[in-house]
Amino acid sequence: MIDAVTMLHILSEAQNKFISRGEPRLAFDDLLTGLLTLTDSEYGFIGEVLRTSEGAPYLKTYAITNIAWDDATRKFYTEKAPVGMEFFNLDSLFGEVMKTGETVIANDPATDPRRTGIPEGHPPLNAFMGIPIYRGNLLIGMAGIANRPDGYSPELAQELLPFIHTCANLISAYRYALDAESKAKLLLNSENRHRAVFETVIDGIITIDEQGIVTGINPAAEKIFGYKATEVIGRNVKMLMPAHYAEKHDGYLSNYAKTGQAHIIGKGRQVEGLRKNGSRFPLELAVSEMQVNDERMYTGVVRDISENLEAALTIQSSVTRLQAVLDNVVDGIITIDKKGIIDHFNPAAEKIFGYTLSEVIGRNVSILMPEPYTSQHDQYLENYLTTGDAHIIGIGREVIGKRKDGATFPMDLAVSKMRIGDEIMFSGIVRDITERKRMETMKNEFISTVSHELRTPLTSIRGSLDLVTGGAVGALPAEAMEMLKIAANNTERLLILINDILDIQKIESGKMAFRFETLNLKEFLQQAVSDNQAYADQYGVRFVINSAHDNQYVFADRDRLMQVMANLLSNAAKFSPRDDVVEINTARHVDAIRISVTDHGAGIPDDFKPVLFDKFTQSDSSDSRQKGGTGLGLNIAKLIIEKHGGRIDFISKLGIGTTMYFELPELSGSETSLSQPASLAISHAPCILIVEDDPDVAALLQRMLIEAGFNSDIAYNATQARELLKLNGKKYKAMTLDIMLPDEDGLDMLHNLRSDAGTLDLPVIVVSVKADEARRELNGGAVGILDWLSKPIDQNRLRQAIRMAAGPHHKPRVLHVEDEQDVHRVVNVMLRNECELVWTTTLSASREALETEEFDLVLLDIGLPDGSGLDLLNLIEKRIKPPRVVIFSAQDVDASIANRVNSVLVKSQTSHAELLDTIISAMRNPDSH
Amino acid sequence: MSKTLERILYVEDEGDIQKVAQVALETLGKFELLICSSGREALEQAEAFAPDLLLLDVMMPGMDGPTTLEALRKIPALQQTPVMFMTAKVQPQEIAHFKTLGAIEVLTKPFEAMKLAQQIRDIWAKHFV
Repeated sequence: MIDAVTMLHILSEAQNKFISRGEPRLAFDDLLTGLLTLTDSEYGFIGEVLRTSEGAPYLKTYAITNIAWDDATRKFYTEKAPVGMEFFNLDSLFGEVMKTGETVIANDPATDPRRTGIPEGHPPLNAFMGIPIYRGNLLIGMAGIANRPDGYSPELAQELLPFIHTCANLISAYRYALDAESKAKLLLNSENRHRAVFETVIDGIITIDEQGIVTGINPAAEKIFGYKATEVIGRNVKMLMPAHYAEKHDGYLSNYAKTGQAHIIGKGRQVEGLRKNGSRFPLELAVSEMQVNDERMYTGVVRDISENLEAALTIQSSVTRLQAVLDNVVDGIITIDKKGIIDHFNPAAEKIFGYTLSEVIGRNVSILMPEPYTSQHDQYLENYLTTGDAHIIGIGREVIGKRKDGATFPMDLAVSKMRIGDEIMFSGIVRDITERKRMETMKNEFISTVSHELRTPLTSIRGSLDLVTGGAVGALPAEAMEMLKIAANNTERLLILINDILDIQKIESGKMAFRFETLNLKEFLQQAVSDNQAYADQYGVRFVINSAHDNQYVFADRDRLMQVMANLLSNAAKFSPRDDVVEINTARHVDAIRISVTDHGAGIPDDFKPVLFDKFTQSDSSDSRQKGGTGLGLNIAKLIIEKHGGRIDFISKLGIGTTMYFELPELSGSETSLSQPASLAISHAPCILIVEDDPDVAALLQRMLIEAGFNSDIAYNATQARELLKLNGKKYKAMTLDIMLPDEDGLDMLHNLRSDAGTLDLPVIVVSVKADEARRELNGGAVGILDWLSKPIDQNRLRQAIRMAAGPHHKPRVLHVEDEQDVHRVVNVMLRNECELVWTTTLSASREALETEEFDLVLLDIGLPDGSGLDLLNLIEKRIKPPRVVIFSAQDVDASIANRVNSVLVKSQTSHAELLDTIISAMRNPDSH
Repeated sequence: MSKTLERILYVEDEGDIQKVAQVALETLGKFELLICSSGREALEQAEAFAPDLLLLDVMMPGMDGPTTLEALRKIPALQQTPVMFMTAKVQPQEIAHFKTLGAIEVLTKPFEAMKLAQQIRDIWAKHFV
């Protein structure tokens, strides 16, 4: 396959040179060089076929390369070149071309009967192809090429046809020029050459004057348009154009003459032509301007590209390929400009959205979104262009799309910004994920159904085995009893397995509801020990709680946390030596409470450690197989602890024992006393007073408020609330109020507060199971209640109401030290609503920021262009109010560093959610170093 | 108010589970048991049986447990009869949902057959003794 683009380039160059050069013959040199390059040939010639007076054909070369084999031949060629060399030997491979008028291919010349040998010293001939050059039916020349490594083929000759065609044109033109010269006895001049080309080239050439009147048209143009020259010359060139071009042409010409503003002149572009028979066709038009005797003339070169579609396609192949890719990808691709106007919409996008290309081009992309995005999109784009704040651009996320019929659907959207010329454009890749979502739902439902369906037969099996082995239906022989007990044990195992699978599925699909409450840790652990006493008894061990303080609290789902404890305690019991002790410890660790369960068993083998928390992993020594278990317990424990914003891990030494531990954020204070949750405070954040008698609900409200960026105090009754307000009335930006308080009706209390100047305008949000009822009762009364929330509490509504009440407040300030822009972008998206972010990319800039500004938290990358981020730790620790530090880096750090900071996250191992949780929890703990 | 528990109307579509429960509740528990295989059957026989307790499976073809309960409650004599559901759905929010339908307890499947009768007596005692 030869390179068509290169070929066209060579041909147009040769045509140009033929016209412009002083020595037209040299154009053949260029053509030959090009031909050798295109065909990978070693040497060759291009020549004219002439006839002797006897009528025998002979060859006169215009160009010949690399055939000189010694000084004498080189001299001969050099001298003869300007006038051409003549070859008369017809008993040769090239002679065969002239005799037969057909392409001759000889890929094994040494044995080819058509050859007669080569002159002594001639370079070796390994392969040969000779192609005849015709003008009409007349053989006017030939080209010969030799020694292509792969040999020659008829297909190659076919591909070279455009090339041969140009050779024919040039040979004709050359003859014409020579003829004209001889006739006029004049030197070959450029005008003649021009004339020669004008007459013979395949491209149509039309000249017009300033008014558009045709002054000349060459035979090729006659052929293209189907007119004779006489029918066109003297008439306006508009006759060759379809109406929509013709209408504008006069104006266009006069405008160009006045202003020099050109659409085509000097540029060239694809337009439509009109043939005599009325048909329209695509043509390439290049127009140049010339001055002839003070008169402005234009020359148009037209190429009919309807006949040349294949070549045109080849030239455009890369564009076409790209277009083909765009047209055939399954993802929708939509391009918009910076105003949101749709510029491109590929077939997949047509299919996804139900619009055709023509329906959306030029319209705002917001038609593809449901409200409220439709209304917000312009603002969003504008905002992005001025601030660089991106929700989607460069990030990609799941969004909702709207089809033409109004139906909405889930889709993945990735948007990237691009610059085309001076213009900013955005391209979005859209994937309809309706099906994927459906599959996910189906999968979840399937697992849930299967688990249920498995339980039904298990209910019968387990029940009957239980009755038989329990002796309810009479005594059985000992051996039969043993077998049935095996069946019963394995039924239990299967049941646990099903329950575990169901648990995992529910946690992973987000369907497991967690009911968080404030747990007194000591009471909780005592409960855990007594609940799991059966395991201790079974394996002959004792559970001992050490160091649990009376007033340590965690915020957790009691049942789920109990599940984790059951897993850790049963494992510890299983792997303990008999009569040993399993220790349960609690300790403050960095910013959390660590609960650990330690056994003195064999320890966890090293090769098993990395997969301990994976699904279906059990150390496969026969010893532990015998210990039973599903291999899912620790995976579930990990999922549960992570849902609590905690982490689970272990320390184990072979032969010494294992400590499994998990860490949860600590709550301080007691359930019933006035709560000043120091460890939960976000410095600078405004404070809200929570008036709520149920400690669980109060803790929940507190947690919701923390997530919204507020501190809070809790009053468990009206008396406490009044005390706090009297003590520190101005401290509270708002109050949440339960109507049913143990000592006083909440609304009565509110009336009293409104008569006190200090609390006259304190914003109040009622949070109560009776909210709706009370609201009706009060009939919107003038006590200034901002919102009424019933239970269960809608967190978003609470957050909105509180934000409205508290007004704008000082957000925590975070210094993000990070040299990678992408990471910062992600962090920016996650945190910008919660924090004021300052971004530095170098050690020195970070130093300066830390020395001159106050921050609540530093999110620290280690590998910086000018040093290690860890070098900032000393500086941070020296601050009067040291910001909290979260290391977020590609590398892990050793324990000595980890102890100096609040948290260490490794980039590749940290999800966005974990990062966010860690930052939020770090900000809650100002005293945690 | 103290109530005695002697007669249990048990609705369960699975024959095998019926038999296991029968041994657990009749043979071991000494309850007077009427087993119905569908909600429809229960509706036909419930009034005449005059149970102290309704014990309903949740997932049944046709009328499920909650629908059966709703229908049974339309029989005047059964409007106040305590009810327990029996189900393999054990999510806390599911249990909470059944309790809002008036269940005094939700028993999980698979149950421990040897302890089922005692379990029911314990729950009964907690509420009515």
